[in-house]
Amino acid sequence: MAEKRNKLLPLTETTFYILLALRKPGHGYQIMQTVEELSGGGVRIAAGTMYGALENLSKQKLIAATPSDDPRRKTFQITALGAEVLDLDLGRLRQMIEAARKEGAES
Amino acid sequence: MTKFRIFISFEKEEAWLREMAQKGWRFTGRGTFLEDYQFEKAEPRDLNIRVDYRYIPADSDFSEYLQLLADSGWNHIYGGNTGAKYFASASGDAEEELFSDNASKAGRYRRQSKNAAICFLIFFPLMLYTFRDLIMTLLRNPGELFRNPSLLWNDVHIIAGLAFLANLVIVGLWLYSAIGSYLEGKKLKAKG
Repeated sequence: MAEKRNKLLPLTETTFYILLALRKPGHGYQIMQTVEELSGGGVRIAAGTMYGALENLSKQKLIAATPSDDPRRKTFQITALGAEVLDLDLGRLRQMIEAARKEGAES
Repeated sequence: MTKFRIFISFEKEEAWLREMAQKGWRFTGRGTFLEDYQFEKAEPRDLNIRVDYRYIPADSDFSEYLQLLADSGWNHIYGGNTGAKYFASASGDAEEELFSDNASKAGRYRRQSKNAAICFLIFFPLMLYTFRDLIMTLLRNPGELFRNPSLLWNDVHIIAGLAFLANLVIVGLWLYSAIGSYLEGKKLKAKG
């Protein structure tokens, strides 16, 4: 199981921000907006890319559809596995920043 | 107006549909049988048309898919659960695309390649079986056919021959699309 999780790392920028956004439930377009906000406008996910990413992440069980009162839009939320993978990636990023700091490479 | 075009490259297809709109031909859809492109006369305008290619079996999933695209500013022009789907940008932003990274751009080609490969693998053996008599005649004695081509012109053979040629073209196009799309996808994937 641990191996399976490690296979998903490192997360792509797109996946990282989608998982981060889905700690609160949201549908595709909301996620696109949240990601743009969270990344300071740096990451803009196009609609086709978003649809494919939601499909993939659902298949990998990192996110799951969640009931909502909007019948026209599928709403998703991060799963326990997704939260764990996001946490592992955060640890990995922290480690990288820490290493850079130690080496004095951090501006 | 109807036009016949065959594209492997989605980028070229998109650019062509846009050019047609600039010339005053609004794209309305594809023919169901020959997959021709259909246009209506309209005011010349700059229209950013983009293509997605995927299979969404369930109608409920498909309507959620269309909703996501509509929310993001894409008007659905044409395309159902299978194959190519055409969208026009509502914002008029010329640079706006359906895919924002090379991995998902490659995915579009991978799905097109897979679909063409499946069609080829189903219909190629079927074609060989259907035209086995004709193929055997051709293979058994090609020299005889050169000396006496009228062998091919008797009633039975000419109909079978034309059908065979039509089938050969269609099956050949699928193989061409399967390989071409696969290579395009690989190129994009390598870009990362």
